Parts: sequence; structure tokens; C-alpha cells
Amino acid sequence: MNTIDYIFSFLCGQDASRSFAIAGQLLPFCQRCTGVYVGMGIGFLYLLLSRQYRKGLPPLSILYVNIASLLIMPLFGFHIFDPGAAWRLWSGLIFGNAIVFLLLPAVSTILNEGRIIGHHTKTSTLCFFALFAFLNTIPLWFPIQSIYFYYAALGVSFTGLVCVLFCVTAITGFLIKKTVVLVNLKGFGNECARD
Amino acid sequence: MNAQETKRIGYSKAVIALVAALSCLIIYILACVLSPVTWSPDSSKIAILVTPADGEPNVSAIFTYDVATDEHVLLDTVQESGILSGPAWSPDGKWIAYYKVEPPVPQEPAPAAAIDPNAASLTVKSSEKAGGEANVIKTVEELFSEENKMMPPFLLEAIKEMSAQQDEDYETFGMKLMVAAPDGNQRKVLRVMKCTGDKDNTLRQLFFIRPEWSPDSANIFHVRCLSGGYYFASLNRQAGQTQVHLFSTTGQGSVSPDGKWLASLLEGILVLARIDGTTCKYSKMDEDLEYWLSGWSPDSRKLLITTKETLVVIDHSTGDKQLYVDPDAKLVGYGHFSADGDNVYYLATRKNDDPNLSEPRLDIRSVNLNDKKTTVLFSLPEGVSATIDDDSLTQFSVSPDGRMFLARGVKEGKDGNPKSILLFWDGKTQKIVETDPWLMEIQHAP
Repeated sequence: MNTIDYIFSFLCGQDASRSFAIAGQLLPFCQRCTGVYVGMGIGFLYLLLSRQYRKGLPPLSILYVNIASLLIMPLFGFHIFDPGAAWRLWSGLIFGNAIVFLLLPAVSTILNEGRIIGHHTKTSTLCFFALFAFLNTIPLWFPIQSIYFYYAALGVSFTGLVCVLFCVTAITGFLIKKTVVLVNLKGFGNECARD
Repeated sequence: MNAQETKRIGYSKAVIALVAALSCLIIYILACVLSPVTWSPDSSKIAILVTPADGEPNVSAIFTYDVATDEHVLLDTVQESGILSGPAWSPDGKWIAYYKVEPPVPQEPAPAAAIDPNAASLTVKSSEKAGGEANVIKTVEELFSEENKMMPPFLLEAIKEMSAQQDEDYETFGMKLMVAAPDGNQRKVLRVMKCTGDKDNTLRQLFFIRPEWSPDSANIFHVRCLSGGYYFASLNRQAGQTQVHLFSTTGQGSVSPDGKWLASLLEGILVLARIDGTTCKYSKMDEDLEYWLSGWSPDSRKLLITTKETLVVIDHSTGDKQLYVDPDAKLVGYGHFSADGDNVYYLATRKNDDPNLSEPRLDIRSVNLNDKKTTVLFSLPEGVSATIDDDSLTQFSVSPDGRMFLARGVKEGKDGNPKSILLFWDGKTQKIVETDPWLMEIQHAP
């Protein structure tokens, strides 16, 4: 078992019968997790490159889509509906994308203590829906049987995982910093410190 | 609303979004990791029958071996002319099933008076104890006493008639269906079956067969040897009930992953029996070829059968047969479907143009069932030999998670003597484990 397999063994049941094999190589996570991590990876790259994450939480239209994407997961994730590999991948893709579209702007806003830079425009909303439409097409052609595609899928999935780890680390660091400042410099009893 | 208040609201919303997103992700990951998976544990461990490299074992044993930690655990062993079959790990990982024939214990010949001369007689050629049972068989009825409870009467009559017409003397021996716990602490005899036929041949065959489990681990499918043939029965471990499913000439059986079908070979015919007993399908194969039943595709639709030169994939729902010939391989064997069912992995000896090379080189290869393209995945290192074309104990298998290949072969040691080895390959690195020392441990144990 290689390192990537080992890392993902903590995050996925790795049921081989429900995993994609690309060019004879089995991905180290199940079909739904492939969707989740690829969805997170694509969403992360989009937010990072477009700098949309600095504009705070997405507008309501995007937020509703994301909440719907999260709510769909229990239906598929707990096997209430299980119509096949493509649907597993699809439910994972929109779930992963929704997670990142909530997580990254939220972390950015928290780290900036509520400050946001810029505002969402109609163009940025349209770009999100274009990305969402693209994600919905992925199950139609995934996977391409090429070893390069295998490494690409692995790379994007790993990027998705790095995004979550980055967010969790950043928030943990932020909380530790706040706590240290609160305790050491100003003390618990200081009313000003709380503000 | 002032800027401070806007920031505070934005901050609160961000915290809510963060908590919601992380909670959803954690719930999903926990659900995925903790959801029941159907892997048998032998992706990390294997259960294997170990015999010395010289092929004439004075001791053989079944071990479990942990691929990561190198730890091996003895499950069972027999000396000299006793025999153990290949082991089969239950899908729930709790038990390992195998057949065992104890070595004969010389005993006083049975008194002639004990045999009823008027009964449809079976001459007992040798007297041995098997599993504590003396195998003095007086009548055909006694031999098939167990079958009265589990076999349709017409089949039972046919078997009795067939056995009674045999001209040669019968040799009977007891074959135990055993289960052992993977930690080696518990061992149970589930059935002791009286077997007839040429003992040496039957025992040799035992090396190549093993019991099969139903996917829910509730039933064990086992064979009983009857004068050169076998029948497959399933034993329900909880109810203790046995049901006969089909007859076979090879003793190799394979239960479909969905638990609905049992397949075996009856001379040149592939027999597929519904386990619920409702249907039995027969598919005629080329009689001149020697077939080896390799197993089912993950979707339980296709069966893989290997001959020495070809891989045959049969879709049992349509009857469609596809032949796959590797143009670069001299011999092929031990086929396994990949986890997605699109590829078949197999062991192949390479066509060698160099006449100076005496030892054929072996490859682990795969064939794509859609475009028939073959790929060499791994070449066994020089000095490691294994044979495909005879009844050797070469084995090749793929772990259920599809990530580890195991080939069993022989490697010449530093002293020039052959050593039995297990060769693991995970797609990138190989690991060779010598198994002869395991048997030495048994022989030198107090």
C-alpha cells in the first residue's frame, strides 16, 4: 500500500468494487469520494485563481444551490438511492464543490475578522453556475483511460484534500493565536480584551 | 447599519458556514470510512498452504501471513501422507475453511465377519482412521447415509448405482471440512466425509481445490470425492443443514459474488447451478482442452475459464463466449478479474526466442476485455521459477482490493537448493518471502 493509499484509508472505505480504475490503476478512494475530492479540488482552484474567496460568503442564489448540494448527499451517501457509478461521482462532485464554496470564503472572512474585499457581481455568479454546469458534465465522460488522466485525477483530488487541511490548519492557528493573545497579553478578566 | 455591525454579522455568518461545511464533511467521511465494506481481510493478510519446494512434502501447513508486518501464524499442519487443501477466507474475516485428510494410522484388519456378505458390498482395501473415525464401510447405504438427508432421491439412487457397478475395489478415507480462526487459537471440524476412489489421485487433487464461502459467510460450499468425481454441497453453519448443488469432475467450484450461482466443470461441460436450486445451466466446452475455472467477474455476469493457451470469458446470461489469446505468451494461467471487471490479470510464460535460456520467464500480465489489448505489468525476477503447464503448486492471486499481486514459486537458494517463495508485488515494489523456514519451525518445534 503506498502513501496516498494509506492517507486516504483514513478518509474513505476504499471499496475496490466501487472505485474507478484508470488505465489499470485503481484510485485510492471510492467513486463518491473521487467526486468529493475532485469537486473540492476544482472548486478550490477556481476560488483561489479568481480570488472569489475574499469576497465573503457567496450570494443567496449560490448559497441555495450549495445547500441543496449538501442536502442531496444523505440520499445518495446512505444508499437510499444508488443508481450507479456516475451518480455516485455526481453526488460527490456537487457535495465537494459546495463544501469548498462555503469553507474557503468562511475561513477567509474569519481570518480577516469579518472584513471582506470586494463584492460578488453578476459575472462572478454566472461564473459559478458555469463551473457548476461543468461539474455536472464530468460524470458523462469520467474517467478517460489514460495514465496521465489517472495522475491528473489523483492530483486534483489531493488538491481538494489540501484545501480542507489548509482551512482547518488556518482556523486552528487563528484560534490558538486568539487564545494566546486573550490569555497572555490581556487576561480573561479584562473586558476590553473580549472586544 | 455601521461598518462594525456589518463586520460582526459577516463574521457570524462565516462561522456558521464554516461549522456547517466542516460538519457535513466530517459526517460524510465518517459514514464512508465506517460503512461496511465487503473486503475479506486477505488484502492485508493471506492464508496459504505451504509445502516444501521439492514437491514431496513430509509436512505441509496452512499459515496466515501479514504482508505488512511479516508475521506468520500456523493454523494447521499434517505430516507425511496427510494432506491439507488450499484455504479459503470467509468474507466476514472470522474463519478460514479448508479440507484435511489425516495421515493413515495402521490398524488391525477388520474381521471378515463384520462385513455382511449379502449386502451390496464394498470391499474395504485399507483400514485407516480418519478424524478419529474408523472407515470400515459395509454397504453402499452406509457410505451414502448422509446423502439421504440432503440429496434428491433420484440423484442418490444414481450415485448408489454408479458406485455399486464399480469393478475395482474401493478405498475409503475420511476427509474433514475444517474451519480455523485466523489467529490460530481455534479450530473446528465441521464435517467428516467418507470419500471413495483412488486415494493418491484424489489427495493430489486436494492441493488444487478449496472450499468456497457464500458472500454472507453463512454457508460453506464443499466437495465430497466419489470414485474420481465430486459433488458440491453447501453446509449452513448455523442450521447445520447440507444441500447438494452439482456434480463436478475437477472439484473446483466458484460461487458468484452475488451469492446466486455456483459454477464447476463436469468433464467438458461448464455447469452453473442456481444456489436456490431452481435452475441448472450447462455449457459445452471443447473436450480436447483442459480447463481451469478461475472465477467470476465482480458483477456476477461473466465467468473466467483458462486453458493453457487462452482465457475464455463466458457471459452466462447471454451464453456469449469470448476468447483472449496473448500473442506474446506461450502459456497462460491463473486468471483473475480486476475489481472493475474490465481487465483480467494472469500469469504467463514468455515466448522465448533465445534457445540458450533454459528457464522460461514469467510475467504478470493483464488483458483489457474491451479492446483485447495485453499489457505486461510485471516480470518475475530472474531465478524465480514457476510452472503453468503441469499440476505444480504455482499460485497466482490478486488481493480483493486489487492492489497486491501474489505469485508463488521457487527460487534457487545460495546453497543451490530450491526454496519455496511468495512474491508480493503492489504495482511498484516487490517483496519476496521464503516459506521453507516456516515449515522448519514446525518440524523443530518441541
